Amino acid sequence: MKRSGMLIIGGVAAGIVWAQNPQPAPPGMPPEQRAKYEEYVKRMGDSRGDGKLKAGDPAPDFQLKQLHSERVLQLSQFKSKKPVALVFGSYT
Amino acid sequence: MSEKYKDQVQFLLVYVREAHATDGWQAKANERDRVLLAYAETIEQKEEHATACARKLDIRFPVMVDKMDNKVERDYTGMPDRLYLVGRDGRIAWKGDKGPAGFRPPELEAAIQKELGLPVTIDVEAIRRKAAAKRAQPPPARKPN
Repeated sequence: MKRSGMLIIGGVAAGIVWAQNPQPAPPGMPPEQRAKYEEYVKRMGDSRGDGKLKAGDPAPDFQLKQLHSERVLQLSQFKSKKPVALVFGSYT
Repeated sequence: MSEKYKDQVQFLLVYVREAHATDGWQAKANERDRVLLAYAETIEQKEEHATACARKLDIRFPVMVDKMDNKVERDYTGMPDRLYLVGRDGRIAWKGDKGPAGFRPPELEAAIQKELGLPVTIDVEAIRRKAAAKRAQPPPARKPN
């Protein structure tokens, strides 16, 4: 009983660790980079991965200010006018 | 490509969080290129990073910086980089794979051609096969320290 209880606790703990970090560093990654990579994955959370959005879904609307301009652009303003190519990225 | 289709397609860049911040998962290539940026802590810092990026990469279409809540980035799983085409009907016409390996502009061009009813001149399947073959290759051997 004691032993099976330990096993259950161990299993639950492993499950929690996996859920918090479902994407461990790739096996070939140098150890000094591993911790940083795993911290990055955790920090980015739902912004990484494949996501649920797929072709055919309504594009989630957003409204953001254009850099160096007072103009505010909204994705839906282009509806029925032009297709929109969205480029996501950063400098690094 | 943005110049080629500028009359028919609206290009927008959504600037997201740094993928390889100096206080995060720093990348060797960025050290070499002297692109050394820490995670932005304010929207002003993020705008500075976006400005430097747009200047360096000579981006000629509107750049929009995602807010500090990163909502647009999350809605579109835009980290670290990704391409989409939204159709005139307001729906996702095409979704690119996750970058950097999945960031393949020729596939976007093929999607644009299809959306505009133009002949598709790009062999998407060949591009995808080449990318898959590259992924399947073992990583280069590391130099001993």
